[in-house]
Amino acid sequence: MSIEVKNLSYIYMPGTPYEKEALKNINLTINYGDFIGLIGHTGSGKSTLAQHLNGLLKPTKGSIIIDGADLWLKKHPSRDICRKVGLVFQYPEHQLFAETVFEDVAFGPRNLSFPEHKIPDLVEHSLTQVGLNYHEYKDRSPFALSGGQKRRVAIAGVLAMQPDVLVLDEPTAGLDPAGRKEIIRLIKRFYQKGKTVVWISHNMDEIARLANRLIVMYRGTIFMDGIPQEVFSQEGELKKIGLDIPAAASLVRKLKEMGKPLPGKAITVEDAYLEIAKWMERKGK
Amino acid sequence: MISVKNLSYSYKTAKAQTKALDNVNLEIKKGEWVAVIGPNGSGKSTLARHLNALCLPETGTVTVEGMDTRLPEMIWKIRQKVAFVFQNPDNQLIATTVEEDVAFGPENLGFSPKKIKERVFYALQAVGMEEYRESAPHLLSGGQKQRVAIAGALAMNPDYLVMDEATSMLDPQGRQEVLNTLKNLNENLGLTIIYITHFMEEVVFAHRVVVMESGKIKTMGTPREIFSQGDDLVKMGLDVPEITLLAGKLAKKGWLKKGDILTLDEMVESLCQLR
Repeated sequence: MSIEVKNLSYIYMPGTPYEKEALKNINLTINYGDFIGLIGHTGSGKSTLAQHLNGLLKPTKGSIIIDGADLWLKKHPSRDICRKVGLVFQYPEHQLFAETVFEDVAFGPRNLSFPEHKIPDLVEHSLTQVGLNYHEYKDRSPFALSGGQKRRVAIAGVLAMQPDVLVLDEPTAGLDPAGRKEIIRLIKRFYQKGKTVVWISHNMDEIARLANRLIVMYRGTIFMDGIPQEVFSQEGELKKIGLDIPAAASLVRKLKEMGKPLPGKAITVEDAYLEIAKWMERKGK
Repeated sequence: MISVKNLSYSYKTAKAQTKALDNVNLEIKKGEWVAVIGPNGSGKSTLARHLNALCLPETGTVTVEGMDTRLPEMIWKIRQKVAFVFQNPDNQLIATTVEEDVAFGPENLGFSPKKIKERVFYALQAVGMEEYRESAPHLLSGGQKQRVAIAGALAMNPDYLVMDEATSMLDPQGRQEVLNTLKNLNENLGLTIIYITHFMEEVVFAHRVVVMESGKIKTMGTPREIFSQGDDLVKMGLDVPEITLLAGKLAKKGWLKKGDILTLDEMVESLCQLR
């Protein structure tokens, strides 16, 4: 089971002076169980790619195949297939619109014609998943919540459609550190249930801790695709396209370059600590 | 100097009243770089908005170079001294070219055309955007847009620049561009910077850090002093930079003399000094 992206190209505003090829012949397979970090400079095509994964944008060329079914075989993609891929936009709280948290979260499943008697359970389950107490929050206005809470309600609205894959476009942008941690915790829980996550982020430290696969985009193409340790070992290449490596990775690489006896492979603070600890312990003997 | 004395402020709706600032006292000297951190809802932005009379004190006073923000006749003078750059670059650029956008402030201040030209040129040069003066703002990158917004502020010749989470929507390169620009303005032109952020890595540049919680100033100090209280910050829902986090762990084991390390270079140096 997977999402296959085949020869995908996308052109914004074709035939106008603003025509721009945002994606150029992308080939990619997302396997269930992946936790993908999707990184790249602003304008590299990350969000455009993300919006193809659940049929929001129609490829100019190429196809998107979800569990063997081609999304655009007919004029409109099938709702049942699109539902499998939940998309959380940048600043999703800007899309909250209903009078109560309940109505907002219920909007997605109702639109997908889930039976009405199942809706309350779905809403309750989704709110619980994002760490909000159903009875406490269901009747409140989403607009009277804090920034972090609004974002969690917006994510609950996507979870209520019971997706197998969650695509999140910079889900922690603009939140304070505590808010960021809450979002990370809830997405980790979603992933641990055997689901798939595609996480777009500019925060390399965050990505290094979470992802088990990194896809790097550059000018509408896939520049690198591999496990985070491999990708972040190419510091020079990444810097050329305006990206950086996690602080912990910079540190151990620098120490190694200076001739210190450590592997220089860590990409998280936790692993950097272990590398340095080993070096220090050896030195102590 | 900006002087905040016993400042309190509440947001009022028909039903409720929320205290956003609770007896805040703060002095910001000319030439300083002050970072303000704190969880969402701690009052950072409300405090910032008092510095140029976008909000007026409920009780207490705010004075800019001795001018009280509550006096209506002072408002425009104060706003010329204290400029603001907001979070979203797309919400604050208004003209069809970069040059016109930057000219908006000095035009409004009634400067002569010659002086406006001078101010615009100076401001664009100061942020390194002079090559783009005829570009359309919406075609610029996020970092470039924020630099234009800074130029728009500089064109009014302010002494103070308030940055309210102005890098939170930028990618790492854009953030770096903005930070480098600010560093240059602070060091070489003596511009005072009041910098609100959620990114702990950006606080490292400040001379002084103000930590806010529930409308009060919880603590104040140099970045080193503040981040050496890492556990307290985490309890408040804040964080420390990754490198400082690692340094703290190594210091606990006695592998580093001190855990108050802020930058990569410092860390490399301290580790290599050990024999």
